[in-house]
Amino acid sequence: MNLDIRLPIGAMFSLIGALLAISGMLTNSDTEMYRPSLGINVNLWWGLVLFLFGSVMLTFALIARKAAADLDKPQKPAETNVH
Amino acid sequence: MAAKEQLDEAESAQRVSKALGMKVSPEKVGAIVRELRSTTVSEEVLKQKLQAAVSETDYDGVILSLVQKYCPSGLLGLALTALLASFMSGMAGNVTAFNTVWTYDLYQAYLAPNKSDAHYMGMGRIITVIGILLSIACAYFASNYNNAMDIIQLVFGFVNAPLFATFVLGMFWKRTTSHGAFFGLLGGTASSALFHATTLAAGNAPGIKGGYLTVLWVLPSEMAQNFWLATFAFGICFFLTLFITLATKRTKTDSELQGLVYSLTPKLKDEESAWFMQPAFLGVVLLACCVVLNFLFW
Repeated sequence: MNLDIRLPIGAMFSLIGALLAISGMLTNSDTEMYRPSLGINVNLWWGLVLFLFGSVMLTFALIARKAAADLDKPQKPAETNVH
Repeated sequence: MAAKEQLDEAESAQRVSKALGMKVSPEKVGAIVRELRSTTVSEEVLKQKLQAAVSETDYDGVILSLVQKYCPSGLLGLALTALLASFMSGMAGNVTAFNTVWTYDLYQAYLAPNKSDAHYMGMGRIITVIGILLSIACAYFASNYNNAMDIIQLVFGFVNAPLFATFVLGMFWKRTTSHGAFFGLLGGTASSALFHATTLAAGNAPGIKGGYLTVLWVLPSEMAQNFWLATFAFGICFFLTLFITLATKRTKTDSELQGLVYSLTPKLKDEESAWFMQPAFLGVVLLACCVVLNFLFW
């Protein structure tokens, strides 16, 4: 079991952030609903923040995965140079 | 007639208290109710009067009332979920720590060594249940206090302050002996108990909150009592450890203490890593952020 913790964290934050941002967009015109949050559409903004954080996590996880995969591959160019 | 009115007063105070989430003074609420019966009061004035009737702020409810007051539906659900998740993870961590410390460090080490794994597993399960029951009992004890911070500071002052003195001396002074550490800690914790038994915060009755032997010193608040208790416990543990250490013979050699005492441990150099990965740099950045935020939200 060699799970990169950034993968589940990134997936969860992006998913919840996307859901929250979409619900914020759909209710953007509802001024009554956003009266407690002083007229700011916090669902939209906080959803975007969560989505951004999740995306950064996912990006780093995917970069690390790609780097690890590149290391595992037999280094063909180096071998051909030796020959 | 008068008795019925008083009943109304107590009941309305209770209902107002529940609606506001704060404790209110029944007399002041009663006066407001009587005024409302005879005259009409504007909403703004009523709000001011109700705020004036609050007798004791409930600090424990601060996060819940923040969520209730400022979160629209959507973020509200997420905030409640996050709150519950953090409660659960904190609980889970403490329960795991409790049954591990009991089973491994006490039961296996001193009470029943060399038993089968299944035996220790069973013990771990039993002690988990007992630990949770104990924590429920602790919650009832803690509800005697005005807010959670007071009781947490009391426990920390009682237990951690003398322990901190022992750790500091043990980590930074290679001469410290085991006798000094043991009796210093014992004396420090005993002095916490003695301090708690002889002092009292203003406005409290002697009993569970201190002063159950005699009341020698009345402090302005429970927090003042907690901090003075921590100061006394730390000081007594520190100097007791110091004197007993100097009076007893050193039993460990320098090489045995390598990796345990700061002055005998080889220092790690972190100059090779990039500047943004160095703990010293990150520490200074965090400290600066802390100072700036403190001034911003003074």
